[in-house]
Amino acid sequence: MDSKAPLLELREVSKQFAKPMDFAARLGNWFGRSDWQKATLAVDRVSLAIQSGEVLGLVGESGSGKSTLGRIAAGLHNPSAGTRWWKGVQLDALHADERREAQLRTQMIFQDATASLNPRMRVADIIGEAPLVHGLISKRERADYVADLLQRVGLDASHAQRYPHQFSGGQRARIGIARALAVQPELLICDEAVAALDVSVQAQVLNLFMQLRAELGLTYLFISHDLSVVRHIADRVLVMYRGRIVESAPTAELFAHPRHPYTEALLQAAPTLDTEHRSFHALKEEASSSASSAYGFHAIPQHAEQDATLTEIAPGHFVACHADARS
Amino acid sequence: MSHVHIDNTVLRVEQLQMQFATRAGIVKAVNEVSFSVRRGEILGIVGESGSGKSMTAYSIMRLIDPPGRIAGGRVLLNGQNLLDLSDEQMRRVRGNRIAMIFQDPMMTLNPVLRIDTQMMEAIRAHQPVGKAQAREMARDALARVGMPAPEEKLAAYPHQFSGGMRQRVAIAIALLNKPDLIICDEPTTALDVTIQGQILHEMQTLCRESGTALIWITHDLAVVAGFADRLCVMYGGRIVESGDVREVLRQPHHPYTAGLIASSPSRNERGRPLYQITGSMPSLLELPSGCPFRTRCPRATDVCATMPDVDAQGNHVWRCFHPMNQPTERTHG
Amino acid sequence: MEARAHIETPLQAFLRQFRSSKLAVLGSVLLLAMIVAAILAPWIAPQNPYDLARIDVLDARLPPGAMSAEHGIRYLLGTDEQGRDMLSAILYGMRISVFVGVASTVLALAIGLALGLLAGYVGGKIEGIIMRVADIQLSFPSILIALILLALLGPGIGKIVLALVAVQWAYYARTARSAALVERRKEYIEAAVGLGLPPSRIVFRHLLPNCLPPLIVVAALQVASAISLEATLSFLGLGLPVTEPSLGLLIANGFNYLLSGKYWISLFPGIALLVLIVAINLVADQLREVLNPRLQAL
Repeated sequence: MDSKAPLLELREVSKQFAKPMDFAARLGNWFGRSDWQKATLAVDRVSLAIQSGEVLGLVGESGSGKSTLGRIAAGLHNPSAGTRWWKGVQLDALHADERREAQLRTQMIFQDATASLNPRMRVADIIGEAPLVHGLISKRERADYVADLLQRVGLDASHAQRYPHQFSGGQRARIGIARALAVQPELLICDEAVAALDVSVQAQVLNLFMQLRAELGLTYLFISHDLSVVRHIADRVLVMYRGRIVESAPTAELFAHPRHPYTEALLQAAPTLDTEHRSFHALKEEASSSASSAYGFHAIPQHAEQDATLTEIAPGHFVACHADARS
Repeated sequence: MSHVHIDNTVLRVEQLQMQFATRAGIVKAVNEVSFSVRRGEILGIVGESGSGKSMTAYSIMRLIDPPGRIAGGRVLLNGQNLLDLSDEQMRRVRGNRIAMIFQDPMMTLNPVLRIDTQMMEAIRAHQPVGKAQAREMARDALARVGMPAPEEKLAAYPHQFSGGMRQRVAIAIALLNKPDLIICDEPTTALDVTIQGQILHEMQTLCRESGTALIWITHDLAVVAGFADRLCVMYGGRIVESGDVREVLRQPHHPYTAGLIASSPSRNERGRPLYQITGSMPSLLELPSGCPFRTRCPRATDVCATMPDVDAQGNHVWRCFHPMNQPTERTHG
Repeated sequence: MEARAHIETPLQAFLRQFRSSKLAVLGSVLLLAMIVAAILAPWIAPQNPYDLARIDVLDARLPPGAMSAEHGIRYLLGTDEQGRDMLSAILYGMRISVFVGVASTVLALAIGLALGLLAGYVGGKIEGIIMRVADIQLSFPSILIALILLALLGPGIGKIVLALVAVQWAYYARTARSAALVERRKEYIEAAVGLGLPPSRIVFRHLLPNCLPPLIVVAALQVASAISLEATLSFLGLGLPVTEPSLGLLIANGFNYLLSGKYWISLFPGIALLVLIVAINLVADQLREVLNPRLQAL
């Protein structure tokens, strides 16, 4: 299995968001002002590989770039730099048709299930549209195909003619999953897919993910800020901070022996049901949204060229170079 | 306006009822809810969406608009029933004796006003102080919630802050008039875990130091576990269980509480299916008779169609015909 | 499996919310009555005012209620200076007014919607060009543009509709573009992109239905505005030919007689026009309330 190429691989991928200068600013530049385009680097030289059948967890807080990375993996954003590989073939080198074909194999499950469903379309159309457009099913087969999918995600097939607003939050999440499954994907990218759900519904949806993994042989990239969920469901975990991966390890290893100070901070701050852990700690100073000051906490330095590399400190366990990283 | 009270209970809610009239019938959003909070105590109210936890908070603050109305019960703040007060009297209580912090700090902050303007406004609405003194007090409040460089922050606008900082400002505003009670409705749910940790730490310290009572409403049992002294679990508009946090989590009596704890990923073996409570929360229009949880409860029988009486063991109170009596252990799917 | 107990289709929900305003119901009843009367004009009008053979100039300027000596009909609302029965003239005139109003609005809506969606979804240079053209046009008073166009094109119903379309399309384009910009960012569009749906399908099947509500509100109000613009143009003499008078022209014709006691020649068409526009506005107001996305209880 080692020689088999990973299902999805991202190599040195970066994503920069630049606010395009409007006409007036460009005119000003022409006349001698120097207004620069303001750019933010959301993802900075990230490399990852997802093996077929595994669940890769991606954790980070706001501003870490995990959602952007998820969208790059799903093909919704194009990276500013770096390459994407699907089953060993470079995506950008393919023809547009072949690339579309490959990208269809990856589907995204969104955090806000309500916003991700077209409020003016019936559920049967929401689920049945794409497979019909792509020729996966014929018109005659559509009703049965949709009914089958609804049942598979635990919904009542007779509700297919209803509109999204007539369902509860948990049911909408399931509709989103059914829609993704309708195009027969191999990789599902769950972007905080359970974050907005109640605890009891969350358990149901997580179990559904695991069930689908077993039944359909799916692979997952599971993005979440909730460490307890990731710990339960993921085989391997990547920790992101400010656009970079700072640590990567098999789940048990990461939670037992975190090496990077940020990972430690995350684990320490995560609330647990364990009532012995009774007080929270004053941890860090926050940067205001407009200032670009570095976090005062643990003096994580401004990004220097050499910090992008990860060193393997134990089998499968990688940590970004850092002064405080324990070895 | 102060009343002499014998014990140090700050808030006592008795059989509170809040209802909405809808086209399809009366919705009892808050149904016979009773609890109390003492000075310096942190009470966690835990429930999922539709459980009535937020509505309870709004009812206490009398922030209910028609078609909702408070249909019964008493809300005693330092012995005085808030439901008896006139609108003007209640206005003097809000922001002064009781403060509220919302999930979205922009529900507290006005985006077009500077921070110092807003804070000074909040102070001078309830205390006869001059502008300079009010500004002093505002600066002190910001420093107390751990805001770096408070002087700079006073001159800024809300959009210049990140989510965590805005919430800190909202907390500072809540503390300005040294209220007896602060009600927090999921204030850290939308924030990063590390920021949440810090804010929880600060709130704990502030409560211990100033003796302010705190009601913390959340859907996250884990937050309550590490933070609160006592907890109430709500379902379908009712309180199903309450007691000391350690007690309830170690030995939940109500099957819903036990189910919530059991579905938490940390209580399940890695890789095995999580324990899940079957079915989903019924709409408040279609609550079953008797115990609201009985349609999803693995222990329900026919007798559960009538409302069980309150059972108690010291501080630990629950309502169930078939309570769980064993301490929770790791559950397997 | 729980979903809402009452399954209401969006149409039923819309009708129910619409009916909640008595004024709007009144407005729609009035509007419907007037439109039906206008459509049925050839059958219910006592006289065909365009048939020159039926008009007797000897019957000119008769007061309401007068009998015609020659033709045996009672002129319920009097006659104008050419002997036309006012009631018939008003009915036929409403036909034209309503037709012009609705036709120009629908065409302008279609053009504005298409261009606005294109601008909002595609962005870039195309958006820039379309929006700048719209802005330029919107900065001129609509009457001025209509007058210039009509002076160039000449009279006739088709030309009037064209002029009104030229005046109105920009407003729809702007509204459609704003709506498209907002909707484009939403996750259901992202999902559609992720599903590999072709852009044309995304624009027409996903974007368009969600951008339509604000445009429907604008359109409803604009019908009234188009009707009154046409009336103004006719009043100024640049609208329809004298032989096929719209309400505006009827009002214009009777203008001279207003102060000499023969009020009915201007007054009744004026009332008809007023009632028509008020009815449309009442309906449009309630449409705006009902289609307001914030009030949609989900």
